[in-house]
Amino acid sequence: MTAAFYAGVHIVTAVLAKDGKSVSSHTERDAILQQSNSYRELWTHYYQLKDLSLTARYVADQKQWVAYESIDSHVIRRYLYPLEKSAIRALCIDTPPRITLQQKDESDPSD
Amino acid sequence: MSEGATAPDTGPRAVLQISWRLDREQQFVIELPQEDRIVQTGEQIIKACDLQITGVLWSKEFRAMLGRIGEFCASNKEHISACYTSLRSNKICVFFCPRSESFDFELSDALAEFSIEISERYSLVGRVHLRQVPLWDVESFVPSDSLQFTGWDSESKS
Repeated sequence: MTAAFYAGVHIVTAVLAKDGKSVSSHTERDAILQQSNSYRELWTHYYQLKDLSLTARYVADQKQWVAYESIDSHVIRRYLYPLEKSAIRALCIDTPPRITLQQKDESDPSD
Repeated sequence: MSEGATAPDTGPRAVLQISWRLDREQQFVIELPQEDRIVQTGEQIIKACDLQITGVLWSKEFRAMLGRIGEFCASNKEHISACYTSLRSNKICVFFCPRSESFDFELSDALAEFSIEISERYSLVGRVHLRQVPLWDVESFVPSDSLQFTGWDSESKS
């Protein structure tokens, strides 16, 4: 979730940079996104990624708060991909390849 | 203030005007209720008034925002179990605890929309951060001096 949020941070920052808006903090980024109608779609998805990530980092039991199964279906597909899609439209670039999540193999020694 | 505008001891008073342009450096003697006197410049008086007016407006808008948050809780009570607010040095945090044990994605959609409404309608209040946190770990996120919203849920025991 934290990785998804920071992917979101880079996506949003890229869109803002294209529009000539330089941000140096989360506060600045949030303020610009919230205060402009043109970023409403970005904000809607970005806000939710941020809220999830902030809580998931510090909550006592992460799996109870967000089940592993819902990370792909909800966090990635419901928030990150739409955010990415909005940014692609804004940036006029080609669609990048999709991320695929797999359950980690417990016996994998390469961890 | 016009030259020699000394106030009479009794009787009706004319409206006295303090001008930023003309009286900024002018000193004024202010009589307090206990017959104490303080000397302030026009600039100090104007800034104090401005601050007081801003404070009153902020307070009015803050109360209106709290009312709107209460309404939001009531209209989403099937999703919200508890709601708290906390004043921080640079922002106001509002914590929504879902009825579910896990993150409520539907509530999150509603909060995303609501965050835009709050920032547009109550801009004078400053930065407001809406968060969804679990009721079962509320102590980890909600400061002990937070205020809890009550009365919006008829089943609420608070």
